[in-house]
Amino acid sequence: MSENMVEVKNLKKYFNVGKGKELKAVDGVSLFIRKGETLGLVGESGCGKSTLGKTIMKFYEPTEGQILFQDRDITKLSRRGYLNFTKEAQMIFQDPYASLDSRMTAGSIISEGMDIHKICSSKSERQERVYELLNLVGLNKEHANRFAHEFSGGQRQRIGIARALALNPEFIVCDEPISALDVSIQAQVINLLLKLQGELNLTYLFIAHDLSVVKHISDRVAVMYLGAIMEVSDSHNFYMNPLHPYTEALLSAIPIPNPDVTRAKKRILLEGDVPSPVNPKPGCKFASRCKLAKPSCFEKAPELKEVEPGHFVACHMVSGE
Amino acid sequence: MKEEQVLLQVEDLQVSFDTYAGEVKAVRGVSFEVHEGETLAIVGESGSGKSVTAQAVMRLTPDDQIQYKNGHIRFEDTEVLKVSQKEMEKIRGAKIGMILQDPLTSLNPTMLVGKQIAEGLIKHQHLDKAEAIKRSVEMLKMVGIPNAEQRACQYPHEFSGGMRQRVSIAIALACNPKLLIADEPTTALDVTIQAQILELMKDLQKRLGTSIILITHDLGIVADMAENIVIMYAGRLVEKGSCKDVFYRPGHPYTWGLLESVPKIDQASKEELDSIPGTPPDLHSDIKGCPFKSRCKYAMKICYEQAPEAFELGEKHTASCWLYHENAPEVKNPITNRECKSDE
Repeated sequence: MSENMVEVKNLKKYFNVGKGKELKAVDGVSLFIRKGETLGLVGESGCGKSTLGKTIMKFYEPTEGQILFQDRDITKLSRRGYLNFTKEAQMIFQDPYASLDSRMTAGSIISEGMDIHKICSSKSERQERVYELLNLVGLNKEHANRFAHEFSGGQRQRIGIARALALNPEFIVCDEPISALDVSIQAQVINLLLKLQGELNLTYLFIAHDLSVVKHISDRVAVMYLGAIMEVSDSHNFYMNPLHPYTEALLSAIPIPNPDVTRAKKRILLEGDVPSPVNPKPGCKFASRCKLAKPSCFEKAPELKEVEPGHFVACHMVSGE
Repeated sequence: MKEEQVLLQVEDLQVSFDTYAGEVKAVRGVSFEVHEGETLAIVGESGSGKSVTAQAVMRLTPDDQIQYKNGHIRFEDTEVLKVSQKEMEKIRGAKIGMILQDPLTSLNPTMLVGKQIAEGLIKHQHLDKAEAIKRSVEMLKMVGIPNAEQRACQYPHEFSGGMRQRVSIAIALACNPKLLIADEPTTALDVTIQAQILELMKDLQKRLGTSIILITHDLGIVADMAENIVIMYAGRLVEKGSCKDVFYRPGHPYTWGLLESVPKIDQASKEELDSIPGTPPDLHSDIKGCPFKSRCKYAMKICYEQAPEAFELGEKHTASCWLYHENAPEVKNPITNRECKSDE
């Protein structure tokens, strides 16, 4: 068995937006996630990072390409196969208000999956498991009978995490799990996710746009732009030695909470906006905003190449073509 | 630093709302001032009263929905809380401009962008229509929108998020106001676009000398933009000081918690963050003592009984915390070991 939890090969997800136009949300992504690691996925809004996460979770049918989960091809799954897959892979969502049914109690939200998969033989066993999960995410058993609307944003996110953990999954897609929370609550949830990973040996795909958070929680970071992966490296190299011009610009744009450092920092200001993913032009996706762009960049899209061990970059200028 | 003129003075402001669940005391005694040409940042979590404070300065909430319980707001020579709404109309848009968080909802979707900018010019500067449109094209150019002539004749939905926020800035600055209130101006934008907008705001401030009240929860933006900082918690002001004071010599345990709980990009990965336990208090009830007491690891007996006054920590640097009372035990400030390279 390979050491990869997930392997994605040339994955494409196009949405038909009418009039023969196609929105290429994910356009030829290849990546792998090792067992027990956290892969951070960063990019600006509309770059396709959530679509990629949801396609891996099989919420969307991929247009093309292959997804391997623990060496099994899950691109085409039967209903039964999908049910088995959901036991092993779960998701935590961005908005803790929209993702929980406010007319259900915390206990019934958490145990819904256990009922579907019939993993508890008795009512008391089920209740024990709910208490155990609530305890695990830092709530207590009195919370089980309360309704979702009675909880604060941070507590709701904890319930969402408990629900994801209910079936003992090995892989969790975290789609911007903290961006709807306040700063002081964000740190609590980050700590919780780190603690759970240590205790339960989980593998995360952590999707976010906050680079400091992603760098903090991830072993490796993938940078996405307009449906394509631009750079993948370990999180230390991501910050210390970014090679792709887009990664450099992203890193230079984050304000650092330290006045002297942030004011002394030289900013690379990108001009213009992200182009539309509807019928994108050929060539490198970033070419229209890139300072290094040469005519060849507008013709041929660069491939993701390993330029040093474990460090992949998709750029003609860096790989020296 | 030379003594600048005070443009806006807020003194012991208290604001309440009547709701079905009872009175919500959103702002509970806040005082600060804004000098000419400076950027003041108001920092706090959601529900801390930072937006309500800023909206009170403009009297934006309809008078029958809000109660100004106490306090003054003085803008130049105007007592903002005493004058009529008619008087306020002469100030809003003309002397105080505002940018809101979400440019999609703050712009009128059925009105050409050029007209939206011209509206204020016609009302306040009594320009005729043609002149006002000409001026609005100039404004669009100033905020860095290419093809301004064509863009003025488009609707907001034809603009991207960053471009829309540039349009809101153009509207806010059209009448050359003395004060710009920016309420989370970049929260809805991506980092690379955020960098563009912040750069634009700094550049325009340098050229026009506008004072800015920047409301945000992002400490990175504050470090980049602000000269002075006000930190709010549960409707109260907990700390006030210069940018350097607050980042390098913070006094209030809540400020310590805030600074410690953001992951730093140059920090080692996967370490546990020092988070602030618990959640902010419910604003429906009266808060006895310090609002932060239940989340504060230094809380003492007095913190539960009596609200702390603002203790002076340095020139124009105050923190509302009993730790600075002469009888309080010595507590080591966890932030002092951060690097303070250019500490003068």
